[in-house]
Amino acid sequence: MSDAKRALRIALVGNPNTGKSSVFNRLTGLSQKVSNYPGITVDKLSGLAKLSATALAEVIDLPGTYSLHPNGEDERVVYQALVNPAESERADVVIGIADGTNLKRHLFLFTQVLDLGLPAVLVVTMHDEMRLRGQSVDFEALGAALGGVEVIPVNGRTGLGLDRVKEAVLRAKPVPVSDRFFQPRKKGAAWLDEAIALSGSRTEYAAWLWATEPPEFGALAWVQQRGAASDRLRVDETVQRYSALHRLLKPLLHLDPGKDLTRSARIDRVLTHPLWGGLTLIAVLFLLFQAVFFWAEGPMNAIDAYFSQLGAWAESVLPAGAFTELVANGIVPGVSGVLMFLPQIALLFFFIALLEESGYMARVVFMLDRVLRPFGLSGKSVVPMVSANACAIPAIMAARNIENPRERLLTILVTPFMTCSARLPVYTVLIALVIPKVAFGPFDARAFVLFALYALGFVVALGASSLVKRFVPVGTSAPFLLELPRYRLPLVRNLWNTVFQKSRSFVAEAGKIILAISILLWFLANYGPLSSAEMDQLDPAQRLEQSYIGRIGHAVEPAIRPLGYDWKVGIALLSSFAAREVFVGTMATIYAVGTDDLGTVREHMAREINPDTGEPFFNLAVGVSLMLFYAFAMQCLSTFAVVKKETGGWKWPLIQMAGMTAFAYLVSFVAYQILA
Amino acid sequence: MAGLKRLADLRPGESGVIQDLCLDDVPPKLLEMGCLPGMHVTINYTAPWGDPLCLDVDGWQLAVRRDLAERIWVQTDQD
Repeated sequence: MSDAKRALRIALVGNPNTGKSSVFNRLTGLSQKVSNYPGITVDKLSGLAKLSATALAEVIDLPGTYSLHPNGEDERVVYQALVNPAESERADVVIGIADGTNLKRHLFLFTQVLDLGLPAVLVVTMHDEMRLRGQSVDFEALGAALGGVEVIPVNGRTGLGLDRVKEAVLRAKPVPVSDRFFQPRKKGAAWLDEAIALSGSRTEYAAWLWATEPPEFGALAWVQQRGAASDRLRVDETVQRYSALHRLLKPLLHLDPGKDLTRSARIDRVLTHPLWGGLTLIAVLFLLFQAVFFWAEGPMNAIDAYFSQLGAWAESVLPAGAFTELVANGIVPGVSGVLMFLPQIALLFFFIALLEESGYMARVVFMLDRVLRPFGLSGKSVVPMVSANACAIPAIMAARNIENPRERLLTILVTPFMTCSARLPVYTVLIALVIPKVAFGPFDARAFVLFALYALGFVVALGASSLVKRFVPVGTSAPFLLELPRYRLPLVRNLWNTVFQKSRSFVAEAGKIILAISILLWFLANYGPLSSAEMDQLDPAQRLEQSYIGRIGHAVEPAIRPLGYDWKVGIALLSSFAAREVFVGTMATIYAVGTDDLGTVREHMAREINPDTGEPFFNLAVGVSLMLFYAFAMQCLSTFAVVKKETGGWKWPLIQMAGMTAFAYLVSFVAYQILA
Repeated sequence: MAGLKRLADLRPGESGVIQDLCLDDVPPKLLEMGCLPGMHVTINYTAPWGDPLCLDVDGWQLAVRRDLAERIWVQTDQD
C-alpha cells in the first residue's frame, strides 16, 4: 500500500497516438508541470487530479510506447516507472489507454503491465471511430478475460466516461498475475529464479524484463552471459503474447464486414502523392511561416514598446544611481529580449502541435524521409528542423524521436544552422541599415534578403550534414518505423496545453541565461580597471573605451578586422556568444553611450562613421559580412548546453561550436573582401 | 501467380501474409508493433521515389523503409 502521506500516484500508459494526452489533459487541467527524470533528459509530465471529494492523485503521463521492452531512453522511463524496486518511485495504479480500433496491439502493452502485478484500469478510446468501422467489443467480457480489470470506454473529446475512470482507479486492486498471456518460466527456466533474487522483483515478469534489458541500458547483459540473446527472448515473448491475445479477442470482438476502413488511406493517396502531396507540403510550410511572422509582428512590437516605456519609467521614478541604471538599462532590456520572441515561438509551437495532432506531421516525415536520407538525416529530422526556426533548444530535444543514433546525432549537429528567431532581430536591424528599400516588381529587396538568409540556413544545414556524416560511424542500424495515425481534428485543449508548456519552459530556460548575460554586460560596460573617480572625468565615449568590455573589444579587434568589424562590433559579437539576440541590445547600449537623445538602435548605428573613410561604418560589405556571421556561427550558450546534455559529453558540442564558428569566419571574410 | 515474394517487390494495392522472419534482420520493435509471421499486410502506397512504403497492418498504417521491406518475405495472395 502507498504511504498515507503521499498522494496516490497514477501512471498513464499507452501507445503513441491513442488519445493519451487528451485523457491526461482532461484529468489534470492546468495543474500540469514539466520536470526532469533524474539523470536523463526525458521530460516528466505530471499533474494533479481530483478523484473524489477527498482524494487527490498525482497523474504521470508516461511517454507513448509499444512495449515495456525499451527501445530508447524515453521508453525506458515507462519501464522504470512501473518496475522500480523503490516503492516511493513506483506508480500505485496504472491507467492503460487503448485505441479501440486496434485493440490487439494496445492490449499487448497492457497485458505486459498486468503481468507486473500492478492495479490497473483500462480506458478504451476512439469507440466512435470503432462504430464507424463497424467494430464492437463487449467491454465487460473483455475485463473478465483480462482477469478482472475494469474496462471503461472514454471519449477524449467530451470527457464522457472519465468519472467512471476516477471511481475505478480508487477501487482498483492488483489483478492476480496469471500466465495466460506469457510464461516467463518456460523460456527462462534456467535463470529466472536467480534473476528474481538478483533484481528483487515482485513478479516473474518483472524479473524477465530486468534480465532481458538491452545491453546498452543495463550494465547487465546478464542473460547474454547465460547464452541467450535478449532480442531473441523478446521476440519469443512477442509471438506468444500476440497469439494469446488473438485467442482472447476472437470471441469478444465483432466486425461488421463491408465497412470502409480506409478513409485515412484515401486522403493519403492525395496528401502523399508525388505532385499533389509535394504541393500541399510547400503550401502548408509557406502558410506556417507567413502566419508566424505576420501574426507575431503586432504582439512583438507591443512588448518592445511596453518595455522601453517601462525602462524610461523606472529611470524617472527610482532615485538616480547605479541600481537604477542597472534596472533601466540592464534588467528591463534583458527581460524584454526574452519576451520579445515569445509570440513567434508560441505561434510556431502552436502550428507544430496542430500538424502533429492532426496526423499530418507523420506524413511530412514519410514524404521527406527519402529526400533527407542522402544527407545522412531521416524524415524524422523534419520536426527538429522546422522547430529550429523558432529556437534550437526545443528542436534539439525533439531529435529524440529519431531512433537511428547516427541520424539523430547529425540532426542535432546541423539543427543550429536553421534560422532561429533570435537571429531575426539581428537580421532586421542590419537589413534595414544596409539594404536599400527598393522593389523589383512584387518583390521587395529587403524581404528577399531575409528569405535568402532563411534558405541559406537550410541549405547549409543539409550541406554540413552530408559533410559531417563521413566522420560519424554508421553504428547499429536502428529501424525507421513510423505509425501513420488516422487524421483527426485537433483538440483545442491539447494544443493550448502544449503551447503553454513549451512557451513556459522556453522563458524559464532561455530567460535565465539571457537575463544573466544582460546584467553582466551592463556591469562590464560601466566599470573598468580605472577607479570610478577617474571614470567619472571621462566623456561617455571614452568611458566605454576604458570599460572592461571596451578593452576586451579592442583586444579582439585585430582578429575581426579582416571581416570588416571594429572593436564595438567585437563587443557585440562576444556578448552574442551567450545568445545572439543580445547583439541588438549590446548595439543599443554601445551606441546610445554618448548620445543623449532617445533614437532607435538603427538610427544610432546609421550615424556611426568609419574614421578611415569618413563614410558610414555600416556599409553593404560590413552588413552582409555580419549577417553571414550570425547565420552560421554557433552563438548560443543554451544550445551548447543542450547539445552537451543530449549527446552525453563535451566532444560533439565543442566540435559543433568550433566548426560552425570557423565556417562563419571564413564565409564572412570572403564576403567582406569581395564586397569591400 | 501466388508465391513467395519480398515485401519490397509488391506494388501498391498488393498484399500477402508475412512468413517466418529472419530475426537477425528485423528489429524486435517491428514484431512488437504487431507485424508478425502470419499477419496479412497490404501495401497502401509509397512515398515519392517509392520509399518508404506505407503498409496496412491489421487496419492501421505503418511506414517502413525499403531496405527493411526487402528483408521481409510474404506469401502473396494475388493470382
